[in-house]
Amino acid sequence: MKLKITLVLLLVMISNADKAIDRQEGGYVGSGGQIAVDCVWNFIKHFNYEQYYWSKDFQFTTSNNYRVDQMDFSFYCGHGNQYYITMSDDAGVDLSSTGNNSQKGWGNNNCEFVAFESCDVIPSPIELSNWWNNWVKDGAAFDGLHQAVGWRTVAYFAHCREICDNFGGRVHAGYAIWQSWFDAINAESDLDEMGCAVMNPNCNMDSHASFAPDPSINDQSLQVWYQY
Amino acid sequence: MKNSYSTRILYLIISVSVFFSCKQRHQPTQNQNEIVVFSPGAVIPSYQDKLLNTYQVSEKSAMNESMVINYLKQVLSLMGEESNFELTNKTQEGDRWFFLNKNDPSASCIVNVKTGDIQVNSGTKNYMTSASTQDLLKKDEAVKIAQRYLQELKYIDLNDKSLVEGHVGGINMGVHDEKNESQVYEKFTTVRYDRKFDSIPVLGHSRFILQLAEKGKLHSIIRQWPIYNETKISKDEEVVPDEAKRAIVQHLMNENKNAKKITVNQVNLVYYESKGMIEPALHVICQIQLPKSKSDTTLMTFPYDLVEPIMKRPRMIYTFMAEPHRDQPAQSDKVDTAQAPKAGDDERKQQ
Repeated sequence: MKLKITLVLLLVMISNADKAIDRQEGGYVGSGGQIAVDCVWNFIKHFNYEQYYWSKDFQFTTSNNYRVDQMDFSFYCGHGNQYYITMSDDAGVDLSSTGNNSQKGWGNNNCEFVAFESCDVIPSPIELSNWWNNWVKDGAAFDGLHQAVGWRTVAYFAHCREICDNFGGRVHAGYAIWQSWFDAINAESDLDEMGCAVMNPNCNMDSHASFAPDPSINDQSLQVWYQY
Repeated sequence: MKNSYSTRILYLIISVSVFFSCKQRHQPTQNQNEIVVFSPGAVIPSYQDKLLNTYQVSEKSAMNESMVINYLKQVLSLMGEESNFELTNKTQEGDRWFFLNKNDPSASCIVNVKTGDIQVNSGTKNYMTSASTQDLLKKDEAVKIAQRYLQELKYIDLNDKSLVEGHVGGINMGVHDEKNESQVYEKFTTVRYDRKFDSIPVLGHSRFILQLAEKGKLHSIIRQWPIYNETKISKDEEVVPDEAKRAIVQHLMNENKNAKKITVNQVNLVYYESKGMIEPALHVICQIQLPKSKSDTTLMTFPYDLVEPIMKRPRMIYTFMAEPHRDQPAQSDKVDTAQAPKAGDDERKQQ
């Protein structure tokens, strides 16, 4: 009986591996004008997405369990700065304290992956020797989250439609997340734009189709991959 | 004498009213000028003395199925990855074909059959340990071997004047562990080539990127070098620089309605490339200042860029233009907290 169940599970896994991947995806449009709308669209159009909103701070903070952390993959585009993103009404969200509320950060409810198509949001060891603290300290974004991908440098709007489209196609095809982000950047960015991704070390080979168990809320270990 | 005095008063009244009416009429422009400031280095490049073209991707770039297989076999064999990708099993999305390595989701193989693009990455599975990749090449050696790979694959013509060296960099991994220790490891070297037409950089898709691992092993490659047909642009089809500058100011204001200040730092003449088309354009690189929130007027600075067409009737979609969508973002001013948030499938399985 056990063998039969294992075989059936194996067959399901193999058949799923051949299909394009669709789980729960959300898109959040920040400041930056029309181009921010188009960038988010160019990612979520690859999926039967669940949420597509003008961004507001509560989606990332006090009601994140109903928005960003209700999705498996949340995608944001707008103006950014280190650990900081701006909403459609130009209000800002400080990502180092986004989990400082009763719903905590992201990952304790559902979310595995977050992408920031915005300048400078994810500093690497080149920008800050203490690059990890603002992601994993108490009240920060990582509360079971697997990976966050973005930029350690400027991210030009000139190419962002193409980058988001390329990335969305790769994630939908089942390729691994941060590796797809870097490949999409390589394929479409200008030469002074550099990607960066932070992740729990056990989740560094995750794809949208297949990923490691959720890290614990208190897990403070973090890995960063960055282009230079 | 009295007459002369009255005339003077009359002139004064007329002058003052003319001054104020002019001032009022130009008020909006002054406001724009207060918000959008061109730094001394940000001048509109002199494009009117150049012969500019538009480009459309040629049908010669396209690949049929047998060409795709042959090209992929050649590059996968050079990377030692031929047995890891099943080339008879693909998923398709528009003009893009995706091939999977079932043993490594970080490996990827994608072609665009319309533009002839090839993007292959042999994956990071063997490079995830807390150690630097042994014998990574330094800049000059990396450039030499990258050029050798491109020649071996017959991807470049050494007489192609549009090919220019872009950037040599790489990918590193940093680790912060539970013991509060952190370390950085070097993983890959990256060599990039860009495209220029008549010394004007192509801003967009065209490039070769090679990622090298131990001892210069080819770890990933991107070939995006479509063949283009060019069409000359007449001067009548171009906007004059003053008009271009006015349009830049207008678009910067429209796209950043709440900005308190927009500083233009650079205006670069480029050939803007997207979706198989190229047009001459201005890449405008700025910094914008926004208030932190409605209640907090502290200004925060963000990078911003805009691409402004030079042609009066551009065919491409520029950064300030809207792409056609089947859906638009919804307003979300509150959430229904009466309903418990739904956990995902994977969380339910764990419970």
